[in-house]
Amino acid sequence: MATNETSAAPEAKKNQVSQSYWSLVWWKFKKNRLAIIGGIVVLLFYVCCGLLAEFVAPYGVHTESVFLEAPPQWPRFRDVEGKWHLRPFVYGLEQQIDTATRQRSYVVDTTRCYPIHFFVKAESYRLLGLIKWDRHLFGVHPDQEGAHVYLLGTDRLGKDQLSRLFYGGRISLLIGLTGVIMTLLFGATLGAISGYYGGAVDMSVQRATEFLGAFPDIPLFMALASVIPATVSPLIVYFLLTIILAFVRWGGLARQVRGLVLSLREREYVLAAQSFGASDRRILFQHLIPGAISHIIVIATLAIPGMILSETALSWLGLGIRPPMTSWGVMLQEGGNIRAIRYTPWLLIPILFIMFAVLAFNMLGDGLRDATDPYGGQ
Amino acid sequence: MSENPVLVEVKNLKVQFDVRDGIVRAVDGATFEIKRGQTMGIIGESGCGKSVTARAILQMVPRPGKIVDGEVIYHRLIRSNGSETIDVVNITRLDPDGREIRRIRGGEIGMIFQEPMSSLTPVYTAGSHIREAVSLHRLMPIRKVETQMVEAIRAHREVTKEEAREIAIEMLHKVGLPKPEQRVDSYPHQLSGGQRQRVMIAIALSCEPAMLIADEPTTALDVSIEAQILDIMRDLQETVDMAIMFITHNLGVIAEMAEEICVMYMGKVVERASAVEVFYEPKHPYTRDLLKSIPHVGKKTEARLASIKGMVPDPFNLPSGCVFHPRCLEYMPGKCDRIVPKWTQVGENHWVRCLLYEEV
Repeated sequence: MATNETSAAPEAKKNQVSQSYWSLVWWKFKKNRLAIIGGIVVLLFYVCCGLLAEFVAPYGVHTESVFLEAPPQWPRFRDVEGKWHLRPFVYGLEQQIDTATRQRSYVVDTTRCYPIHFFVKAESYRLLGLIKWDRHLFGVHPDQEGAHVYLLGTDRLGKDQLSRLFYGGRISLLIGLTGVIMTLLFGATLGAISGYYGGAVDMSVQRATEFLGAFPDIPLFMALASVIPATVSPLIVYFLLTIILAFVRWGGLARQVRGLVLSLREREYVLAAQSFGASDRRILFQHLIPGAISHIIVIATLAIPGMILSETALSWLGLGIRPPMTSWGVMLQEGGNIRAIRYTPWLLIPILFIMFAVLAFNMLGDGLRDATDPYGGQ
Repeated sequence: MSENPVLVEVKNLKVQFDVRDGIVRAVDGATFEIKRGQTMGIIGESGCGKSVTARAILQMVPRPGKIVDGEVIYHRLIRSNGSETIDVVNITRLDPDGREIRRIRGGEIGMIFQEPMSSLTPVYTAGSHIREAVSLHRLMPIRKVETQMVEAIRAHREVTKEEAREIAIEMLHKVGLPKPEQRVDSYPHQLSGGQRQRVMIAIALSCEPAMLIADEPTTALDVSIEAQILDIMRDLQETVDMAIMFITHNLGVIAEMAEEICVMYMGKVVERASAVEVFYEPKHPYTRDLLKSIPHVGKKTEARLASIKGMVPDPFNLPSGCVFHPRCLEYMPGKCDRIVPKWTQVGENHWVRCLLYEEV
């Protein structure tokens, strides 16, 4: 604790007010390059998918085309004649069907060249659900007849996979966030109460977490998910799913918060707070939880990838988000069969997105964990 | 000072800890009273029940301890319209988490602790601690300083944030913290031990309590800081007419601070008298032994420093009769190990629990 006085001494001398805890945390976090990268990637994911999916995606989430299961088109700068172009372009695709096997295949038609433009006019949408707009980050020129750009290919219905990844990420990432927030509400509150009061309360909360922890995850998910009626709107399914995820996952967090509160409640400052007349609720939420907040943030950050993976697993099993709603899990479900792996491997690209998101969250969480203990370590 | 009205009466207080190995009688029939504006010292070895007594007064006995018998009676002074009435509150009957006891804690009886290092919540600044206490208890009258009547105050609005901050700065100034305007925004880890203890005192005094319980407030501090803290406490006591219950094992400190002293041994008050009498005419053999064990500066002697022979008895197996008899220099075989001594008066306001002063 006291090391701060020496480390922040030069600045502190000047104005006598030394660094607050959170500025120390930020200072240490900044030095961790991996964590910064993780943080930026996470931020990018949330901005691109969560906020601006409509703008970033070249096509709408449900826009279908005649190009069914088209492979990814590579953006090129150099054409077949060896000429360099400043503007990237894609070659058109030509669909061919083998009359004998009824197998669909695509050949690149190098005679048709579709340059990629930025901020192009295309389908109109409402940005953030409010602002009506029709510009997209990139796309083919709208005046060009038959132009198309599918950088990551299309799915079975001819929808652009890249666009769907952005829209699907919105659901998958937000479910991680909202799920963790609900886990926090459940877990931190119950854990803190359990640790603070001890005795019978502690006993029952701990046995409940053990019961949930001992119950096999997938069957429990399946049982709970099967309660969701098939007819309700996808939005309600989404919320129910979040609640289910949080309900199954709060145990771990409750345990950790309980452990922290158990050690914190024996500190003299709790006694001191009691001695100047603070109520139990006040001590719990104003004196104990703030002491544990850095741990809670770290636990939460590290719990988000678990949530994302659970959503993916559930949707992949067909128990979570259902089409027409799109999530990474739903997309994987479409690509998760032998036929797809054999003939349309680009349908597995969502796995890369999931891995990147999970990795980024873990890097960020690890960095936060180190940073929230600014006095410890090196 | 002796004509001061009684503020807190502790009557036959018994606190027990029901632990796995048996029952520990941490406080076993403590009886004393604290008068308004007076300093009562409580001395005794570690583990003799001083701190538990203090915490029992605020209904803050740590788990699994329980107040099994006895009463703590608090005489609340209510000033309204120039007349003073006394409201008698039996603290032991109050719900330990109730509103009434929380009004008393901090608002009417403040407490400071042994460990200034850990008594402040690390995530809050010094100022926000004081602000919290102030906003919990102090209500602002519409400014008429001389009529700070409890009733009137209660009828009025709560302090605003700015006022609370000002009170915090004022309190920090009162306890002698340098640059209070800046220190009010310091976090506990930025303050030294002495500064933290000053902040604790400021918190405890911010609501102008009628009594301050100081549980070994200077044990963790060095001697020069200790002297400063004691000075501050005495000065503030004079200005706000506050009683202090001063718990320590440091006889030097208690001699300086207290007007009346209770000596505790194994959960029992063994002697109670004015400070002067305790130091010059100690009656109980335990008190005498304690006084003998103080080293004297400047007194050249070949003899080793006296210590009380034997060990503190096992709390699960207390000796029969007088609990002190195995270590007592004036042990009377056949008496002390059989008969439990009674609380006997041996002088004006001088009480002792020893068979030497009983007719048996």
